[in-house]
Amino acid sequence: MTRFALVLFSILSTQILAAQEISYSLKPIKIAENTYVLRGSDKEINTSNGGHIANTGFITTAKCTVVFDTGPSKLYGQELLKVIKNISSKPICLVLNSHFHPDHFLGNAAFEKSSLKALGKTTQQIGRHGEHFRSNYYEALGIWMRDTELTPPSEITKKQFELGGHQLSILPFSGHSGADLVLFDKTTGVLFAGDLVFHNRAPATAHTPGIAWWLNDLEKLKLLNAKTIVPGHGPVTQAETAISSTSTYLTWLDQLMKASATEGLEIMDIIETDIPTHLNNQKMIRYEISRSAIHLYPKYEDAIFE
Amino acid sequence: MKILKYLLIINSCFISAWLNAAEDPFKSTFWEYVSEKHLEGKPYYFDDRIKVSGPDFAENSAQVPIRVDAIDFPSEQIEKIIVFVDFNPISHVLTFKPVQQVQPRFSTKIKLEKASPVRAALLDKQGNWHIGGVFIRASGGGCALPPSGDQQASLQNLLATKSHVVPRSSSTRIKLKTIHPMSTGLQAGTEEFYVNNLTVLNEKEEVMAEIEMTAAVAQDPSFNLTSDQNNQFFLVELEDSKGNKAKKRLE
Repeated sequence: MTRFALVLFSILSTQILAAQEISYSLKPIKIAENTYVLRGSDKEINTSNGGHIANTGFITTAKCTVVFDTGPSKLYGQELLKVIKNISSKPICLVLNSHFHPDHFLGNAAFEKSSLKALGKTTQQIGRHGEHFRSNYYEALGIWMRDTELTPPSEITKKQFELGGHQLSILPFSGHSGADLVLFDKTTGVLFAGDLVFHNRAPATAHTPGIAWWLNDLEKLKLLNAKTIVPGHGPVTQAETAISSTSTYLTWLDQLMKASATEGLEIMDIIETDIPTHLNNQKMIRYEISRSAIHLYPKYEDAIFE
Repeated sequence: MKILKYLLIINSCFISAWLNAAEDPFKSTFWEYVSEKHLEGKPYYFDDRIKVSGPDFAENSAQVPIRVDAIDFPSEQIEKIIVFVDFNPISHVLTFKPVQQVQPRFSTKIKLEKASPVRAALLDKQGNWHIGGVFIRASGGGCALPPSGDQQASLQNLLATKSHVVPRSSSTRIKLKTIHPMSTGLQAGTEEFYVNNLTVLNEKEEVMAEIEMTAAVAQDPSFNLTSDQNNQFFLVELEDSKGNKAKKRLE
């Protein structure tokens, strides 16, 4: 009996401890005037990073604040709100979700529902897959996810506007996930690119409509002549550098898969492929190649079949 | 007296396990169960020559790629190779019998209910099992959820087969994919319906390899095989659990 009580006590106390201690410890980085970024970890989601693997950011205009992506959980959203309040006393008027992947929108649970906006197709994708993602995240992250209800955004209609001294454009693309929203601030030259751009971190291709499509989107992003890019994953940098990091990887992957399919190679051959030295700076490359081999390579094989 | 009887039983269990001289490298809690179920009471050894590879993480647990490679094992000594998954509700995935002109090496895609060791056991002509395996992480649901993909489309093109044959200097790569829902029958309102026999033949219609499968093979089964001959084309015979048959030319 005593032993049972002891075990129970130790379980409860570690849980209380965990509940008290977990925090994303968000540190905003100022990257341009009124513009801040919270850098995600370049790792898989785990119980140390609480799922904060994607970059999020916000622009504190003179009128109100615009948020770009809300992170993986309600707790994350709440901590992001605190960070914003420490910097600006203005209200939050617009919270954007770049696309339907859970590391970018589950933090919606902490925000005013009417402020949550995304592309129309993203709202459908969240409706279809959101609950599945949420339960996967609960399974992987446990207590970090507490009280995270699915809080879907509604479709954004206003695409170009001036807000408190910032000229903002919202542009729709599709290369990464079928519906990818980017936010371009002409005033500062900052482009919040969501997962269309990965910088020194291998791109995730699970839901791309096709690499050719994605590369085409990157060409269009170049034409915006942005100064700085906030990539969905990886460090903030000059626009050109970040776009080229993504396109270099995608071009290599596309060629590898085309050549392998022609030679009759199998998925495991892609998973075990040698990584060329010019891609050694791409974090998580082994992990992403494996995912791409599973999701994407069968399409290349199908193209070769009789 | 009763205690003594228990001790004897426990002791005899230990002795039989010890005689097999084989401790499961994955220390799977299901090892005793799956080994009894699939190894026909014959002696077994964990053997590095039997290589199983797969991704670290299943990603899509309804379509998990695996490769079985026993190329380092003397091919004339091979009776058959079985693949099984400890934690799948349908643990037996397939039995591969190399007959002639085919390397003891193949790839396919399987379903994973959850994270599990995936094993290949090779039975030699003396009646000993040689076992290799890989542990694959999965988020679950591969067997309990409907397989991803359009099962209706698979029904419409039942047993339609696509292929890609690549002759090399002294061998030939054969890749084939046959359309079939491969229903496990584990979801409410569905019945078990899968391809159970796939036979690969050479140009002279001589059997090269026989593959028996269960519904634990992924929807639209695909196989990669290697012939050690330089052939231009092959044939495949397919039969499913409802007796539908097909014969196709692979080229």
